[in-house]
Amino acid sequence: MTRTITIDGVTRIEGHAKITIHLDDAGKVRDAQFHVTQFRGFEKFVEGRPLTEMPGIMARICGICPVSHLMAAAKACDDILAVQIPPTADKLRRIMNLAQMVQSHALSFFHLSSPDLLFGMDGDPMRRNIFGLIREHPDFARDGILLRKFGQDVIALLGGKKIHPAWVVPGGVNAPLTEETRDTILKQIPEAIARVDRALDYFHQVEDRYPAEVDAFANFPTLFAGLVTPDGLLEHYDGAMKFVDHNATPVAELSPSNHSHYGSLISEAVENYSYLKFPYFKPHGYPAGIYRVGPLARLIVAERCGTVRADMELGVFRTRLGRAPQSSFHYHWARLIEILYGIEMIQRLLQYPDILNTHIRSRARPNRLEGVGISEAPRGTLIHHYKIDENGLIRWANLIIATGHNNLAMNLGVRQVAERFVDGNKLQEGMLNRVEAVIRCFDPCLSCSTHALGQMPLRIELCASDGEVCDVLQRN
Amino acid sequence: MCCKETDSAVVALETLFIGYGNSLRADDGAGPAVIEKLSTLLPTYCDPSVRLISCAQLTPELATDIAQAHRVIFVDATMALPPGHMTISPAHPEESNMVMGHHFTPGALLAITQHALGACPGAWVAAIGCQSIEISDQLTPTVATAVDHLAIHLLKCLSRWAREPGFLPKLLADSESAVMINYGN
Repeated sequence: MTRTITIDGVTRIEGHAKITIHLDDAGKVRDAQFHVTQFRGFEKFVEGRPLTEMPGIMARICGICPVSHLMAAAKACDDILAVQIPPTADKLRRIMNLAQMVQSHALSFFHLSSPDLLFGMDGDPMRRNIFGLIREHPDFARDGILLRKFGQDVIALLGGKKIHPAWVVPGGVNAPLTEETRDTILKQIPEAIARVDRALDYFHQVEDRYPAEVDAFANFPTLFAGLVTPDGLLEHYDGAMKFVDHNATPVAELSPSNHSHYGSLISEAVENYSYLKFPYFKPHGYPAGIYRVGPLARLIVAERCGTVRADMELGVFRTRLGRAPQSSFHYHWARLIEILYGIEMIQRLLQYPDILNTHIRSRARPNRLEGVGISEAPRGTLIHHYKIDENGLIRWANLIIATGHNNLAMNLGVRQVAERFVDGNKLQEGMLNRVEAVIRCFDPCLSCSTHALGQMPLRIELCASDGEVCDVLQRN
Repeated sequence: MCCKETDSAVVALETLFIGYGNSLRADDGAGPAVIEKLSTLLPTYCDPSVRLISCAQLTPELATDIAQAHRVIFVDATMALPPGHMTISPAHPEESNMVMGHHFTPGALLAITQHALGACPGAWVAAIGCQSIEISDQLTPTVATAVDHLAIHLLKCLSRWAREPGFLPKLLADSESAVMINYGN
């Protein structure tokens, strides 16, 4: 008798999704799928809107990573205007983009994933949550809150508000940095770095407890993709989009001037069980063209970070795990390294002599009818592609969202974990928590275009092929 | 963020208002609208110990702001009340394993503040009943009226707190009867 386990919805991720696990007659996992059950319509309803509105509209895709969409949208608009934004504006945009990464990574690591890491995958769910974390590790939890606050404060100081700031505009930014704001941010840097150091200490105390999870959490060879500087360093705002194989050997690269040719490397497949599309590396076909993006991928694609402390930690990371670790469990560590890098790089950018320059916007009318903006969101590479008519109105838009790039890997990862841990004859919460936890490694953000965020009870049903419910696990 | 703040080292933060909701979903934006209204009214009161925060949702780092306050008033929209009806009710730290995403309830945020930062200010939730949460950047007329009345009521509460720090605010009214409340008592 074929049976199916459904995890609906998946918890401690952003957005609405469910997982189904299909069992064979012996209760062994036959297949597993990750379904994104919400629909995004932005590509369609921006048609007809003026180009200048795109950053403001696209930032509304998401309340979690609005800055990322703001950046990619503004870069696509820059491309259509055919302008080079002033160097100071470039630096200011980078600071905001890095602040977004710091706050997002902090939330993912400290509040969504660390309960699993500190209490164990089989820990009591009543304890394995943020309140258990605060009770038993209050300093750690406080550091998470304050690191996120650091990132959010930088965004608010630059953009006027934390969510949906309208500060990034086509051609640059709309207000310069003041000396007071710069100094306010710089003053917070040492404490922020100390907080990441403490988090890394915590992480190193627990990482060795999970060899089985390291072995089975989306642990398979894939390509990896991310932006790099001309020197091959870690990059989040601009630069070449680079694909490497599972040995970190370069496979393909799109220079910034060739970003518009992303379609030669990436194509998108559709499956009938999910609203989230399945991008793949086109030269390898579907689904063989599976690749991963995000913190782990970026650290594999880049030769090194380019800041002192982050490079030291990356050295430890590579000494322990090798040049290109394949397990997605290592996204957690990579996320902490990127937080460190982000804070260091914000400090560096703020110390440039021209950072207070008031020439911050290049003005032009559209000079092209098509533009592409590629930047790195916390979860991975983000692509915005617009076509306009001669009146400057959007006629077509295509967005490839960071979480989408990882869709194939998340699905394969769910199946790998289910095969390893789920026994259909003896259903236990810890088994299913692992199935969710592999998704959390990728920190997917599925809430785009919805305003109701993922606060849902977890209900797992074990069903016979005739629909009869054989077993139920419920988390309120 | 909409702030009227001063150097916290000089003036202790007494009252924190946090209005939250999605201003692109019609009446769901009632919380931020109350904050906006308060920001236009507050200068006449010139109270440096009041801070206003407007946000889309409650997120964990707000705990650091709450920890600095003597009292906090969350302002939210609700479908649990008839359109335009308003309530103010106490909020308490509340641990819940329902915290599974990137946002929190007032009770969960208070619990985080209490456990992580060692502070537990007096807290209330001021709620306005929604008529529509469809896609729109405009409040419905009924809720817009309620927003004005609630903002005025909260200002009266501020005035009362200045004279009587232990004052416990409460409100159970609709947008019509709110104007009849005798704030002086």
